[in-house]
Amino acid sequence: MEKRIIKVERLNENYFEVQHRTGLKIIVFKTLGYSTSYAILGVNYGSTNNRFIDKTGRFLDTPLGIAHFLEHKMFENEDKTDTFELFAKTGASANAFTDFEKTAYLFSGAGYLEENLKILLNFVMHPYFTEETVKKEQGIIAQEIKMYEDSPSWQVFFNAASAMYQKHPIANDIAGTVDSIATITPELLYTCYNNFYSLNNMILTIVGDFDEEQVINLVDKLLSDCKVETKTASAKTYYEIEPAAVKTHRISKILPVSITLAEIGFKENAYTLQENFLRQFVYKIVLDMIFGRASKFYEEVYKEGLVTDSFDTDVIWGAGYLALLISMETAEPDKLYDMIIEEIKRQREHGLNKEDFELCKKSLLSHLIKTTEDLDDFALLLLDITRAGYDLDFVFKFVENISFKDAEQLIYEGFKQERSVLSFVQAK
Amino acid sequence: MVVRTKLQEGIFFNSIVDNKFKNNVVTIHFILPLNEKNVSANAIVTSVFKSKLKLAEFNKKLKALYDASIFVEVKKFAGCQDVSIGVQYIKNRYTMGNENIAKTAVELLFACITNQLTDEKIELEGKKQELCDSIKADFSDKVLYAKKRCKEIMFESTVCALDPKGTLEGVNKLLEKEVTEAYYRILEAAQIEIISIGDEQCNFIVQEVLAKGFGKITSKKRIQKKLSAYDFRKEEKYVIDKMEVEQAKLTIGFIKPIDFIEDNIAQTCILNNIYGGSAVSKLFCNVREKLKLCYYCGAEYDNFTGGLTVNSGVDKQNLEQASEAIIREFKSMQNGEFSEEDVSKAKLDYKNRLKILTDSLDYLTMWYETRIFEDNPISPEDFCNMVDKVDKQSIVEQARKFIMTTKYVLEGVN
Repeated sequence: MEKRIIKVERLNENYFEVQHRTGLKIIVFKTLGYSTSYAILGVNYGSTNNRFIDKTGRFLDTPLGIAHFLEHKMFENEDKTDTFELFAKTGASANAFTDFEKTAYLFSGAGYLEENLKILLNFVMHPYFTEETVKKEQGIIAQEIKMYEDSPSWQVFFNAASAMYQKHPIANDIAGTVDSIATITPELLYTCYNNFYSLNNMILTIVGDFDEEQVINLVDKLLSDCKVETKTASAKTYYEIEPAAVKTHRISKILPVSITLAEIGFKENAYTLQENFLRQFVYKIVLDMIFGRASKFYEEVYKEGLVTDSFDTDVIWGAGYLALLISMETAEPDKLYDMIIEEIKRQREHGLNKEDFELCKKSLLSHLIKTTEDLDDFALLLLDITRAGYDLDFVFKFVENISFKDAEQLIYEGFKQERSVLSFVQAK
Repeated sequence: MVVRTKLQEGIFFNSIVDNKFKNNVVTIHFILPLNEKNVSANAIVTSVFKSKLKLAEFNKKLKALYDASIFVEVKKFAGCQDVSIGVQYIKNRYTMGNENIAKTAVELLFACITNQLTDEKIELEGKKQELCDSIKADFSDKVLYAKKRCKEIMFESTVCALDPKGTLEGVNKLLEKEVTEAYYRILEAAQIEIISIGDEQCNFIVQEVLAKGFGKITSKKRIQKKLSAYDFRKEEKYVIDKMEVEQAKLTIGFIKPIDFIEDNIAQTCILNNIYGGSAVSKLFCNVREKLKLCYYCGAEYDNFTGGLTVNSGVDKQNLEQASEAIIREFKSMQNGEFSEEDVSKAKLDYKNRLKILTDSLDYLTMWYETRIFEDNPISPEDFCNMVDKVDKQSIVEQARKFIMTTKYVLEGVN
């Protein structure tokens, strides 16, 4: 085991990053005064990894939504025990989720850390799928998909993604479609599991008020007990080359809403996961400067009643994609789109304001500090930082060192009208 | 532990010291009786409070305070309307130069409240639109909408059926005079509960600033918060709404008569947990996992009304089967068809949730808001002790007090 102590100067706290001999990376952060411990086991396998070259060199095109389906099925065990029942014996709350690039299994519990970690590692490392249980899950997930079909915020987001990306699988819904999940079989699930669920393709993050050394030794012991063999590298995801241009500039959907929901997206130049992870911070500052709560633009559109206070900005990023999103409730999505394009032009002509830059950078730093306050958000932040190959101290320092010039550069390089989309959901 | 201080007649400061968080939070609750006549006018005062939040210069001041955030909300607790405003700000030790920001943050908060005292005119149309947009937004999320509709039907003919945001019609009819009256009613006549969660020094500063601030506001006799008992409909009612939805939303409501406030809260919470409050509950295991009828099927209990609602999303052709299964599972609770082990698991789960709650500033704030409304400001730790005393018999007793009164379905047009 290789252990590294990371000193986070901004927080005046330390944490451990351990490279276990099985390949599992373990992050242990002591959060003084907290009553519960929170652990999250992240697998680098999400909805965008559905096409891949397997370990034998074979190309596989698996059904949309299979990573999410696999997440659901991992909770059933060969000895017929139910994972939720096992956690219920310790009182821990367990859950899981799948996003574009990872599947995460997690629990939150007061005490019983050893028992809970044992359950977590055991169920994720021991798959068990049958025809019968797969069929059962197809019905449940079909209902989940239908629930999202009725969700305007979900629909407006995925329509924006599908308008921006022509080839990248981010354009597809994480859960897939009712038709795509109907083709999933136990064999396919085992294939995906065996290609991605290797310990060296996972990160375990544990936060809570405990002795870090004891927790590291505990995980080491549990990994030995799990009798899990160290596996070789996982499969390689296949991505088609994504054209620079968007697929379509305007996309809309009719749903029973009483106020129109809109998202304006900018497809940015995308790099590797590592690069995009850092670039998101610079973009966040620039978005906040131009469209944030303290911007003249926000004041104008909010005061005039063109948007509600749900107006917000976000950056989505990952391997091969980086996009900016401005979301809002508005009766006039086209007008807002034009105003946003005009505002970007104006900012390019007049240049960004240095004082605003300093305020927005300070604000981003505060946001990062705030994220460390809630155990679930914090564990997830540590997981994402580690997935990208960095540590928390590096991230704080990176943000502190973002220069005004970095921000200025983005406003000229990015936010291109020809790579923008307008997605909205409105009533009939 | 809550240290409760009376700042003046009808104004209370509730200080909760917690040093582990990196932020402090202060919320000010203006509590008034919920009634049809005033509900929309009181609700629009949230927009008056928000006026400054539209200004870039004001927001820059908040950003300079390490992105302190001010938020407003209007909600209800049974027959009370709660118009609130709060601020969350970072602790001094996480600022770049150990700056003292508590005082400025709370002063900015107070400036939002007293905003209208210095402004001559309320921009009424903008505020009406803002509140109407907020009412309309609640319609977009169909899962939440179905829940809300079911409660409207369950509590019909009582004030508990009212939306604390008011109605579109009520908001649109408001005159400037009525809004001004509501603003002064809230400032001068509402019971005020201030909740400050943070380190001791900051809570002290907050108390000082707010005591001074409210000291300058003319107070009329403040209306003391009052919880009432309601006589809800006991007959069954089935309502179907039709809309362009892919999946039908099914909500079933059960009512238990309570006097003012739930006296058996721990027992009823454990009942709710076994029935539909966890991933090993009867609803999750049977309606979702065994019958495969839905993705979500869970129960919620409101101890201010005694209403328990089950929410689910199912295919239209399975509505009857799902409804029967949900009711059957509740009957099994009334018949005591659950084990001692189920009780132990539910108690453990519930206590774990209470501990998770103490680790979140947002959840902790919500916890104390509710407890202060109940006039029972106990800590989550105290509640754990109450949960420990719950036994199977007491759960069955509580289950038997419920009757199913409402079935609401939001289904597709075709």
